[in-house]
Amino acid sequence: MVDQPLIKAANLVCEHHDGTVALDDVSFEVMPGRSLAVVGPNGAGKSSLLTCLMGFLKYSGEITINGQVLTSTSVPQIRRVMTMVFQDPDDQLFMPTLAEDVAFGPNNLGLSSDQVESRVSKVLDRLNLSELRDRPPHHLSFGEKRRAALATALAMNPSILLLDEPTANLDPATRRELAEYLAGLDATLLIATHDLEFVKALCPRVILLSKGRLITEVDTSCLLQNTALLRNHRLA
Amino acid sequence: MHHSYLDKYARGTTAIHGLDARVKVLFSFAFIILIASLRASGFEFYLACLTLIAVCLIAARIPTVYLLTRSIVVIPFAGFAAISYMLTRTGGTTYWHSGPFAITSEGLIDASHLLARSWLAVSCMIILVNTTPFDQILKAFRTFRLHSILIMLLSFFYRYLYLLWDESERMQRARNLRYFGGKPEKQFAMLGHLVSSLFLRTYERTERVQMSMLSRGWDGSAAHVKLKPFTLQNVLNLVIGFSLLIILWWISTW
Amino acid sequence: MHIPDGFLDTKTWITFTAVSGVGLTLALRSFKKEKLAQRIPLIGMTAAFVFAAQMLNFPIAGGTSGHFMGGVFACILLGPWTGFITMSLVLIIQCLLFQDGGLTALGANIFNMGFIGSVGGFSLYGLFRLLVWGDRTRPVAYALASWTSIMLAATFASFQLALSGTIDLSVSLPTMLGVHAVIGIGEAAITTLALMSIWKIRPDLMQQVKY
Repeated sequence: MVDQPLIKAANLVCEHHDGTVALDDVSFEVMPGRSLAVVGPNGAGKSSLLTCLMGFLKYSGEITINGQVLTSTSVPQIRRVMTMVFQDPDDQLFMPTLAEDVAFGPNNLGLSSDQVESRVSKVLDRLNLSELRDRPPHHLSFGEKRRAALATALAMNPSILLLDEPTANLDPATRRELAEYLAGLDATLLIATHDLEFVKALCPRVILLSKGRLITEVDTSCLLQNTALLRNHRLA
Repeated sequence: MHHSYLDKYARGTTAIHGLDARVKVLFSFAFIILIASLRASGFEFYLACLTLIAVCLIAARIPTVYLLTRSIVVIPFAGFAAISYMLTRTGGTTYWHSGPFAITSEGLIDASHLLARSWLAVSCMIILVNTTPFDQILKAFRTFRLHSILIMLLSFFYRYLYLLWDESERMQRARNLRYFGGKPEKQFAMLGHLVSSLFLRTYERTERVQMSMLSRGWDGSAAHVKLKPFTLQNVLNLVIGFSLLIILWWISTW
Repeated sequence: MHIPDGFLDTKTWITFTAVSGVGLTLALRSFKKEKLAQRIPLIGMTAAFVFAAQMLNFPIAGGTSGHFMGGVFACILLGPWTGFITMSLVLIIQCLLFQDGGLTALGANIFNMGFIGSVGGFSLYGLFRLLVWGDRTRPVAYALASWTSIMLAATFASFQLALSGTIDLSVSLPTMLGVHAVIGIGEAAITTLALMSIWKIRPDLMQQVKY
């Protein structure tokens, strides 16, 4: 059987609530195991694309996730296989303690409390956060918050993971660790970023957005060599 | 910045910190209710309460200075109320009077009792929140069948409290950098602007937080909370605590 | 005007705790389940916002300073019931973490500031908007409602203190109202300016509540 794409977006058009265009006729596919990076300058529509795929924005065109068309009725099902890590970890961590925050997603999946507990311990352990489990989020450092935010999403066991600017404000060591960690995951990633080094380490394919339009879809190595294109879109 | 100035010592490791949150909450609330409902009582009662507060303070290793500075919050209202109370009481020796107002010995004693009562209640609450992490206090409320949505709202509130507080402080600092004194109208205009931009930032954050909750499969129901069982040891601690309160009540009847 | 512990007698505080408890439960029950997904983060964070905004002091004559209460502000932006819940949360946290307002007086404080001061002030705003049309009179309505909300809350606090036999009404009412008439001007100024600037930047937020 030929693999069907995990994410398929066709002629996606979407507006901000003030009426300005966020995405204009964007089409692309993500195949299983072939992580994709979304690059582009500030305001290109990268975050809008991710939130739109999660079903938070009104859109026209068609989005198919894991074979299911994204509609208001299929959204809960889709969010069981695809989840998102937001840019600001303070938006992602809203429960009183870290462990409760990580348990929030699995609890919503309807797992028994033992299953939830084992998932939480496993995820925290893998991200070296076990010692911080009873800490409130405002007692964590920024790097810890970032890892914690990732942990909350991973506890959902997603097959598709969307990441919005995962390396913003991270120091180089933490950034490298994050890349190594993400490379070891089973999930297919969709990363919105303008950190090209990070993209090189994780994603074989890239789409370049500018002002809401899809400029090109290429292999990462090709994009990195095309200095003129990068300069034109404020990436180099 | 602030980082939990309000409950700075909540994550200590003393024996008092180790007690079950439910026991501490029940005991403290009962203590405050006892203090608030006894109207007239002798000097011995206040001394006994003060001793109890002092013992807890030392056992929990909370600095006395911290308790004293934090308990200043009662002054504006309690001070005002105690003074009006003092001026309108009659009886005993009159030291001074003018029109309907007078300072009498009875009035002085009653007003000082009033102040002592509110100070003791405030101190008890300060010790409670500085020996018990707030999430555990909320879990204790959950055991006491407080509305689950209300508890979730409170936990949200606590989570974003320091964040917004810091944000408002940063904005105030940014304003002060560009503000060199001016008329009061101008100051109000700036304060109004500060409040509105803080609200808009909060509102935008709300939208993002809501998205992050929904993307983890949330359907609007109250978050699941795992509660620890109430052990025999907890019951025992509670019995000891309430025996202390009965002794206090007995002292108040002297 | 956060009443501390020890200033209300047993009958008064138990009555107001019961009244506010029932009111709060009814307000929470009034939400339909679908709406909660949107409302829970909004209410929790707006409450944290009101708390943070109350930390911004403004000077009053004579070296003292007052602070923003925000009851009418919250009600106009979120609607009266949500505003009431928001203010109740603020008062609960102030009582527990900030020790501003006593535990036994919590019910009375919620009643004064959360209910009378917010929903009461808001009703006045609604009435004014019904009688006088047009966006030009908005600032007047904001100012009037927020000033009155402070005065209403202070009046009820004085009544509760008198009911408890702590301070005679003849003393507490004039002093409380006198002090709060001045604080109310600050409240009115900030509420009006803040709401007008939100009206300018995000009018869509103000239209969510259809008043």
